[in-house]
Amino acid sequence: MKQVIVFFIVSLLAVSCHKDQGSEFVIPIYTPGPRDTGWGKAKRDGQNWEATAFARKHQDGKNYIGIDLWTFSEEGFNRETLSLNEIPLAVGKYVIKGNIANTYDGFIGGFYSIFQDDGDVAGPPYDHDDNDKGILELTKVDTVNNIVAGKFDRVAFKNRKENSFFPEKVIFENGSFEMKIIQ
Amino acid sequence: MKNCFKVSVFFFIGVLIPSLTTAQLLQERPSSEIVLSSTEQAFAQKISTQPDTKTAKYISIGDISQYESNGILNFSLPGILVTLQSEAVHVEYTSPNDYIWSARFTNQPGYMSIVSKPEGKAGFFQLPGKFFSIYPVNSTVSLLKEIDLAHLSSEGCGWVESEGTNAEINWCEPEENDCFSEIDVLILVSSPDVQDWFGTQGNPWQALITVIQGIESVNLAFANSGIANKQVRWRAEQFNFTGYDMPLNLGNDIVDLANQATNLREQRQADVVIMLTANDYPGFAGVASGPSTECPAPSENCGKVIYETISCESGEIELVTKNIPAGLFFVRINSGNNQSIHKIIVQK
Repeated sequence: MKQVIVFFIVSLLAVSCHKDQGSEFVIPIYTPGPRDTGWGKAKRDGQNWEATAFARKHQDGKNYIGIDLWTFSEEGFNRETLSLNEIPLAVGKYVIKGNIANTYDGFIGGFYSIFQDDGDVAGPPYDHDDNDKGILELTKVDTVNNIVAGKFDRVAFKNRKENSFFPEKVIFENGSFEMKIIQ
Repeated sequence: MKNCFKVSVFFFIGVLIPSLTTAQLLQERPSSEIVLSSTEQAFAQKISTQPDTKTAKYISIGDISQYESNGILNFSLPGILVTLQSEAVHVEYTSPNDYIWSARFTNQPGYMSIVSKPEGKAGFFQLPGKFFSIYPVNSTVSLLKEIDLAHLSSEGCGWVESEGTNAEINWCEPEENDCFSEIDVLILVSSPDVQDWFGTQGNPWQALITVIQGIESVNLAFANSGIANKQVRWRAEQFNFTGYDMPLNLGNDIVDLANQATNLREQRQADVVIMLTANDYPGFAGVASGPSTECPAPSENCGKVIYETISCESGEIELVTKNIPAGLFFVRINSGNNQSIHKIIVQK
C-alpha cells in the first residue's frame, strides 16, 4: 500500500555526550507483543527473549525474504527490532554476515535497533559483528500458506556508536521462529 | 530574524485595512457549482466517507486581510451558528493567496489556523466539543470536515520511560526561555516515490500543505503557551534518498538518512531534517533519530536520559527535555481535540 506518507524526523544536532562509568543502560526484557504474524524466541544476552515475528519478500521480486522480530513496551510501543535480510526462500543453512544494506552479497545481513519513548525515536544502530560467526537455518518454507520457520544461533550485534549510553554489544543465541510472509 | 518577524506582524496589522463586505472568509460552496477532476472527486469522496467524518462541506477561503482588523477577526464557520471572534497569535502574510493565520478565539475557548498557499488551503478550528479540519482539494476549493470526536482513540500520550519530573524548573517561565530561537526545518521530499504517490492524489500538494499545517500548529502552541520567542520555519525540496533496504528497514534507513542529509542540512543551515517518503514501513508512521544516540565527544551529562515533562497552559504543550548540555527539547503538542501529536526537536 502506497498511501501512507511516512514522516522521518531526523535530529542532526551535534550533541556532546559521555558515558558515565558503571551507568550503562541494560536493555530490559520487553514484552513480545501480539505474535499475530508469528513468533520468535532466543536467549538475548543470556536471558529468555520472545518477540512478534513476520517476514517480507524483497521488493524486486527475487526469491528472497527478510525477517523481523519485534518487542514492545507494556503499552504496545515498539522497543526492539531484530532484522535478518537476504534469506533465500528455500530450506537450508545460511551464514549471517554484514549489514542488511549489503544486498545480494551471498550472506544474510543483520541489523538491530532499539526504540524509545512512544516507539518512534530510534536509538543507535547495531550492525552485525562479523567477528562472531552466525548461522540461520530455514527448516520450513510453505509458499502456499506463506509461512516460514527456522532457527538461528549466535547473532551478535555491535553498537555503531562509540561512547554510547547503550550497550556495546547485543548477542542472540539459540533462536527459533515461525512466521507469516506478510508482504 | 526576531526583528524581521516583528516587522512582518506589525506590517500586516498596520498596513492591511479591512473592508466590510457581505462575503465570508470561509464561503460554503454547493457541490452543484463545484467542478472537480476525477482524482479530486475521489479525494473528496475519500475524506467525506472516512469513519471519523461527521460532516464534510466544500468551501472556498478568501484573503484574510480583507476580513481582519488589527489582528481581530470575526467570521462565520459553516455549521456554526454563532459568529466566531478571534485574536491573531501568529501571522505570516506574503500575499492574498499566501499566508498563515493562527489565532485563539476570544468569545469561547478554542484555536484556529488557516494555511493558505497558491496550491491549496489547509487548517483547523478547535471549538468546545467540536473539531474541524480543512483539506485542500485543489487551488481554490477545500473540504471542511467536522471530525466525529466519538471515533477518536482515547489513548493518551505515553512517556513510559520517564525517570522523573524536575518540578523545580518551570520551562514556561520567561527566565527559562530567554533565548530566542528560530527552528529551521528542512523538508526533504523523497524522489521519485513521493512524486508517484502525489500523482495518485487529487491535489498533489495536499500532503505538503498538511505538513506545513502541522508545523504551524507548533508555532500556535508556542504562542498560546506564552513562549513568544520560539518560531519554526521551513523549506522543502526534492531529495534522492538512496538508502532503501530490501525489505524496507526503518531503523537502518533513518541512519542512512542522517548520513546522506548531513551536507545538505549544513548547506541549508537547518536545525531539523524531515523526509517524506511514500514507502510503506509496517508498524511505523514515522520515526525520529534520538539525540541521545549522537555522542561525538565526551562531556558531562550525556547518558542519563532524564525526561522532564512540563505542561504550559492547560497542557497544550509539553516540553520534554533530555539531559543534554545543548538544551534540546522534545516538543509534543496536542493539536486540539483530534489528539494528533507533533514532535519536533528544538534547539534552545
